[in-house]
Amino acid sequence: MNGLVAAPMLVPLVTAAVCTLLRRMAVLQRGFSLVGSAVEIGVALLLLVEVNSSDYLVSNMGNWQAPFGITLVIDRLAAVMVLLTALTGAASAWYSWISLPKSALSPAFHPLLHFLLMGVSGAFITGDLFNLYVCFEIMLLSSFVMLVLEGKAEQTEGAVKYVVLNLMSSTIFLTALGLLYAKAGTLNMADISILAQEAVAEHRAGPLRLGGLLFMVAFAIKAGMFPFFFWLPASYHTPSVPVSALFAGLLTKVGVFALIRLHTLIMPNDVLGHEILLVLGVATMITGVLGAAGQMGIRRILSFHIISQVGYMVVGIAIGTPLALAACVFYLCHHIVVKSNLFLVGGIAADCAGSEDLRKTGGMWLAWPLLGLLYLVPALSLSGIPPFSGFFAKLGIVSAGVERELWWVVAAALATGAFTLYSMFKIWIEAFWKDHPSSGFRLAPEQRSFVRLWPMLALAAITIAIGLMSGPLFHFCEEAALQLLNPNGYIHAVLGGRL
Amino acid sequence: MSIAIGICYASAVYLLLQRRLLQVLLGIALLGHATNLLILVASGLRGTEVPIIAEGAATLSAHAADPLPQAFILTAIVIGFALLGFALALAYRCMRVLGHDDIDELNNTDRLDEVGH
Amino acid sequence: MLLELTLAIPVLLAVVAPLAWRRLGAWWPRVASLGALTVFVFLLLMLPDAILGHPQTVTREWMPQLGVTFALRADSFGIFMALIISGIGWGIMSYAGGYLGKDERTGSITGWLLLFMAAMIGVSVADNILMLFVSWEMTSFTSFMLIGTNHRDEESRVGAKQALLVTAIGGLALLGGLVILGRQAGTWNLSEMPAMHDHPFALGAFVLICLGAFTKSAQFPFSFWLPGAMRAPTPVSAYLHSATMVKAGVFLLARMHHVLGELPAWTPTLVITAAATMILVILAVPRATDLKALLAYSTIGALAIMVGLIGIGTDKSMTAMVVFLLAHACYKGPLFLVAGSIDHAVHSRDIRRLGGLAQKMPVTIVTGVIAGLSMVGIPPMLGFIAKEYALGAGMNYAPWVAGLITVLAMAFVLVAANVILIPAFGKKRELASHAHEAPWSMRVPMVVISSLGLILGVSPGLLERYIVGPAVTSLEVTPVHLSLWHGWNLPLLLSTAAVFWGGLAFWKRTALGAFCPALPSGPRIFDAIWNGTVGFGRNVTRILQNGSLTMYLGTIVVVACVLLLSVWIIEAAPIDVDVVRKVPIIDVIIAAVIAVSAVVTALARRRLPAIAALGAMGMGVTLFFLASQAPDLALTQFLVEILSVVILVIGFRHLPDFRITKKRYQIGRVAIAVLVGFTMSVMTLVALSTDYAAPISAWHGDNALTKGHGHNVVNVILVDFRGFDTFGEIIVLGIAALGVGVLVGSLQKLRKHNPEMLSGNTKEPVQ
Repeated sequence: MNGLVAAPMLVPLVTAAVCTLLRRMAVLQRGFSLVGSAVEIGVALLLLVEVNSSDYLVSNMGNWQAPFGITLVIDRLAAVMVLLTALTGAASAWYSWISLPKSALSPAFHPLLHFLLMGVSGAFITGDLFNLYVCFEIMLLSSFVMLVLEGKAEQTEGAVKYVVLNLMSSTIFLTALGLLYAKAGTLNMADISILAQEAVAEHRAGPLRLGGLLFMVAFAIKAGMFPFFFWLPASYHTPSVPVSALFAGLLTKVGVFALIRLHTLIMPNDVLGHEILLVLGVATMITGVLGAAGQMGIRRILSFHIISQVGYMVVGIAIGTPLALAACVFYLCHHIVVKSNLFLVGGIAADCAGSEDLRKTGGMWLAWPLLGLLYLVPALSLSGIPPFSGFFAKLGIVSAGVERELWWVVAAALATGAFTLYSMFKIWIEAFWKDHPSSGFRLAPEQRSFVRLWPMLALAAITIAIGLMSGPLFHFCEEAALQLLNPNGYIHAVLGGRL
Repeated sequence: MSIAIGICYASAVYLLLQRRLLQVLLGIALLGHATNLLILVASGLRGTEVPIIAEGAATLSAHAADPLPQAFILTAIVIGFALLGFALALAYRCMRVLGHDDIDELNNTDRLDEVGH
Repeated sequence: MLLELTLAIPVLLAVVAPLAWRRLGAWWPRVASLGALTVFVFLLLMLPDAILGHPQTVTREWMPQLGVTFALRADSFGIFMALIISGIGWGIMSYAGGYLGKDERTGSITGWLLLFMAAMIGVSVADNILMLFVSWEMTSFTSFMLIGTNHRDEESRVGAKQALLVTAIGGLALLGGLVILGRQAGTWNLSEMPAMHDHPFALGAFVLICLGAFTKSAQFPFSFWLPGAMRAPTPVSAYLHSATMVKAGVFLLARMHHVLGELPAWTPTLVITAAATMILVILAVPRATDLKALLAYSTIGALAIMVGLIGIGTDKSMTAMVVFLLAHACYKGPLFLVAGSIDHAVHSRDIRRLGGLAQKMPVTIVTGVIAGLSMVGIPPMLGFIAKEYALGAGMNYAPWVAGLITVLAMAFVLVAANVILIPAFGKKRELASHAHEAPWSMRVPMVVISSLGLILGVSPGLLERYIVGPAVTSLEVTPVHLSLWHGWNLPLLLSTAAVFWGGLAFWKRTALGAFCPALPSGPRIFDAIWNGTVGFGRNVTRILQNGSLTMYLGTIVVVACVLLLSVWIIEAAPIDVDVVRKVPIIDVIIAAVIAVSAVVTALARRRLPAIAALGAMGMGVTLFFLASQAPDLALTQFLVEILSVVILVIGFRHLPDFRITKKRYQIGRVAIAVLVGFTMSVMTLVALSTDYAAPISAWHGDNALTKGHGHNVVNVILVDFRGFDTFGEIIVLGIAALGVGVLVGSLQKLRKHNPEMLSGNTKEPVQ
């Protein structure tokens, strides 16, 4: 089974390579891209089942023993993240097939999509910090190119900010790597974790914490935390719909994921680091949601909400109890699905209504009730209205805050919920309820073809399933959190031979 | 050397904060150099020999420089080059499509109430 | 099983509603009302068990880790509430069929109504407090969808939005309160929850729960959303915004009484809020002219009485509250339906334009009179009993409360007279000429529900034994004896006075209306506060997300540096000064070269010198690599440097030269740059001091030849030990090539197809 560990990276790579070769044969390329996505989902499911029974799946690349070679490690968190990555990728590929006219799609889209998935999955499964850097770069460069695929002026503009700020993050990451290697002499996460535990026990973790803080900044930029999120609202609304859905679902989550690894493996028991993260997390929640409240573009609103919800997850990491971490993992799972779906539905609505500007949209509820219902599922979920998934995610964070008696965090989380609701229903009222400003507004039959809704229906079904089966799922998240909070399991799985 | 690294970082940041895209690009390049230097310097510079196993010996001499940071830097140089190349193409494109490279005027995508389409 | 069905039936019917309406047409509302009736019957069947003290329960795991369990418990008070919901629900479904007629939205309206009914029954019979919350939020959402039925009308949208926001804010507070309560109590089930008043956070939980209950039940200062919600079709207003949903807050407070009732803050909080709400209603009623607005205000007042009674919390007041709840549902629902029938017949609800409808719509008017009498509190109506007991309980607590209730009862008289007497017997207006009686499907529910108020009023024994008594008992309070006649006492006197003065007020209504001050508009105040917050958010965003890349970068590096330096100081990370002293002279020279060329690059005023200086710096780095025993690095660096300079020169041929910005802007930039430089120097020095462990690379040196079969250890690491990194690096290069191709390639396409987009100086963003 351990041979399959590298598959989340290799399957997208092969798919990407074949798609590059097929770039002049659009239909074949799309077909292969979808097949590749399906295989990825299959592989991810297999891994998930496997990791559930054997806790850790470890594979040393080239069979060089850890920590000297590069080790790939899949624990519960990594497995579920890989699955969600594959799902989001598949939804995006599917959407681009059925909803975009052939001419609108660059032949480079599908190869880049799978390169991106490769980078993202790689970031989830690698057990080596330098390899994480390489995976980040793969992910980042593919996202750079995807951002400018259509070549519109605003995309170029957004891309300049996105590229420069993310290069900044990469440089900080690399600097942190240099400092950490200088101190620890290794970049294998399990190996570092041993050293970190020893250093903490001997009260000389100071330099390590400095390096950890630098990592934290690098990952915080990636995650879109306050005050590092600027690149996100500047760029996410500019690319084509499937691209922004993919970004919205995955990219910031890689940052959050890296923060989880950082705080559980490399900076254990770092009270100061957790405090900083908590304050920044709450600030992220609030600034994100305030930013969204003033916007009038569908995807702009949704982009700001990504920031605010990253705040929730970060708060979960910062509180750091088993409950909080489980809630954070649950939030991650729920949010990837819901956010991608909202971008897709919002994209269809904007396409049908002729604009993303809420002042120029309207009439969609009467024109296409099914689309309206399909919007309501993720929108209610994001707003935390039960019985959808977002309610349980929010409940988890709130409970974790109450458990630790962090009242200001609880208050901020609840207040953020009110504004989220406001934004989601602002979109509903303006795009769906209000009459369309142009009196002759009517949907063409090919615009409201049912086929276009399939990817969103699938994602909405997952959202509902997460809500209804939140008990078993949260149980899984708790197990994942326990794994995260017990680095010795991870260390043993990676370095078991050496210890 | 660490002071030189500090100066490199300072210069790079100064460039990044300028208005011209070209200066920002130069800043990124400079930042790359500074980081590579930092990795090498921070890892100790203890070696007095190159990390190549001498003819006839089975293992690396104890006096050799640490090979691992060198491998990291090599990878980083190449990745940095790829990124710089892409950033340059982007700047070029920005120039051609928008007609200027003044980043202070690149604020259309952040304006409130405005939607690209 | 029965208990699950009471939830499942409406949900299933709701799901099929749009389709069924298209298939069954006019039959569909009858099917839906039959569904509600079935639920009513099922609830009745469960009542005996509940009265005998072993209610039916359902427990299914949902998310036990956070306390959410699908736990239902049909105790007497829950069944009492659910009976009202399903009974009125039956009437509303039937009425809606006639009221909406062939309106194509009937399918969706009935669907949402059924869903609402399920949610509301969920609130009533939930044992788990988070399950109660789940249902609670569903009622808010379905209410939003129903208020917005006429969503093409701006005011409907505004009403729906405000109702949603207010109830959702309350809902969030409630969630906080319930989570605190559940964690403190160690159980999430109401039936197992002990009295919690001496727990440390009980007061906080109480305040939050109150916020939830007050917003839902439209208590001061959150009352304003309810009149706005009257934009909904009348069956919806009758159902949600008078008979059932707004009572959820009262219901919740009643449920909480045995848990938090002993808190010192309980009584004052509830009574004062109720009193403030009553005053608001008393002032608002004389000026209102819309039938539904009049009824909405009186609903707020009635809710305030119930909140106050729960606040008083004695046996008598709790009993009075339960009777009042039932009586209110039995008269306010039909009154709304009467208003709807009038609206349906003459298309107006403005009392200034209505009159003389008694002959045209006899059944409607008679129903209205019966319900109105109950509202005014004339014996032998149920409303009379409710008012007597409320006055009595208020009397026992404090005379001023009874006085306030009396004045409020006057306002009720005014409302009833305005709503019934003016349209029925007022001067005949033009509108009345084409009035017509409502169809059977609308008349039957009105008559049945309003006559219940009479039937129950004359049989207080039945009421006490089977309905009110058990319901009050399940709230862990001892019910007091109910009877229609109490002899001549003070409450009766007050009650009579209220009727008399109310009549007088009605007679002098114009003068009274002019006398009462216009109240500040609640919706407008709420909008101002809300928009103020949103505006604040916009300003914050305008400052944070101002579009300046320079500022973004500056913020990031400054925050990073400040964090790093402060942690450095706090953690007191050591710097080993010896390391600095031992630097060989050659390193110092190279370092100087690098530093100087870096500074030159930064300060160059033209681009060619800048690029040249960057090249020089690259060479310095190459030299340093050589001096540090890293020949492979030196070689790579050298090649890459040459390539970089070449592409920079080629690329920048097309870009304009710099413009040097004015000096005063530069000081800040220099300061930031110096800060970063200082921080990074410190970091490097920290890194140079004591290490944790020997680097793992000794292994690589030992095994490069034996296992990797190469002499150059760096190369072996790259292609073998860490080949996976190199593999990734190649992919990065490939993607970069693809990216450059995309950027430059599409530019060529642009040039070919629409060259005007490439024109020199346009600042407009181009598509």
